[in-house]
Amino acid sequence: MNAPRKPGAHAPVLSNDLFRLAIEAAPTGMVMVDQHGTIVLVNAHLERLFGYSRDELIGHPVEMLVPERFREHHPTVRDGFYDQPHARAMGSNRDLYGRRKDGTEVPVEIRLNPVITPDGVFVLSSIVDITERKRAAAQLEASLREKETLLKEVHHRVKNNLQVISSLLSLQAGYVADDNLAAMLQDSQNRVHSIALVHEKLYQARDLARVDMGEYLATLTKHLQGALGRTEADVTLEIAPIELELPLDAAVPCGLIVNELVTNALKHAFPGRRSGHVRVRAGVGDDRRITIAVSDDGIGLPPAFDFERSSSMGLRLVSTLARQLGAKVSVDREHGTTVQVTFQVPS
Amino acid sequence: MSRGRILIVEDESVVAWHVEHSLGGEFEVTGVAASAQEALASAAQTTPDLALMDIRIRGDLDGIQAAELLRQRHGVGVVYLTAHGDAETIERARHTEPYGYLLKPFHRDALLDTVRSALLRVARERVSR
Repeated sequence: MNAPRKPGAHAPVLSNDLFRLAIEAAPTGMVMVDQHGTIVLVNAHLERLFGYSRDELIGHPVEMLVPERFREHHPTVRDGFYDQPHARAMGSNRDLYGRRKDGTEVPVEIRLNPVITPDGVFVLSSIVDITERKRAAAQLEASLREKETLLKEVHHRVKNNLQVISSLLSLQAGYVADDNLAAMLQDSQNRVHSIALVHEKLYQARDLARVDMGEYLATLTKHLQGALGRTEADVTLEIAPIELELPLDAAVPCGLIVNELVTNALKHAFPGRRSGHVRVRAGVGDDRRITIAVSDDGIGLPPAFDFERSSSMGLRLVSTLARQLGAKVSVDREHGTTVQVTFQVPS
Repeated sequence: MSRGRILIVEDESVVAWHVEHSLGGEFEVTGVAASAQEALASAAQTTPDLALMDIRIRGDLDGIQAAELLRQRHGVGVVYLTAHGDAETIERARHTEPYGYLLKPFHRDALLDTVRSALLRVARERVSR
């Protein structure tokens, strides 16, 4: 350690009692250094924080409070401050540490304030021990990680259980002789699958809370094409690019609605081995309303068909889920059939 | 080539039954194992062509570790069939050079297609050795 320099006792500011009292009463550690980096003033809080007595500090370079690994570089940092002396936080976005007398380090937050006097510019630093804050932040981070792990585990288990249900339905279908009944079990399996997929997409999502509907609907429709691909018609299924994220409670009904509408189109729109086209699109309008539409260029609905009063389980499911979403369902019968579901973006 | 011989590693018995049922008509299921230990014992006895591997299985070792051991000790490759769709798990699994990666809930056609192409690769690799 360098020999103590004569503290800047010549500076009038230091002989001002009111100034000294204010520094002493400050609720944080305070240290003032002159242009050479020599400590000229400290308060009791700083003494307690670093474990030095006032006499051990005054007249010595401020670098004695800096951990050894940063010590060599510190005078350059100090000179940098004098080039542009204005009040600011030290080392923003960096972790700062002070070195105590016993050699241990303490995480700190430091604010630098120039004190301009006729005798030159001094730097008054307030130093706060942030050990507790850092510990609390680390605890919060650990608890967030734990929550994330737990949520992932829940989604995983839900998905596993849905796989068991799906397997049960599939196995059951192998035990029924009636083709209609087997088809119903297949429909039920697809509905379970559409819910399971929401959990899969959530599990993969960054925030584990919102589903990327573009990815979800693409995977869902691909699955449906595989599951129902052996229908009579040679149908191409197209999904328009979708940029939409929805929370779990909106994603599940949306998924089920698309599941029903696509299933319906694949099964009924193209009888007699004709080829066809089914298109799924979704988007958010300027009025923040979400539209999901399934179109086909098939034979169209019968003239007397009333969507709301349909006896089909699938279409009743669409109406029920649409009500749950507060959605309006409209049917366009031009060039095949388009069923459009419109609802407000959930908050 | 004779019917492909498949070892199913799955600790959920209903799902294992479903997988076995889905494969049954076209392939020979050599065994159903619920843990890595059971899978290794079964592979030692029955020398399957391929293992269909869940990742979360019973016991201390997971499906990825089991896959590594199956390949090292018995030269058996895997297709993963798992509910784990996160990037981290897929990346871990990738290092075991699987023949495929299927996500649950699976569809029978996708399962059969993946197993068929995996067995073709197994056959090709055997010829080139």
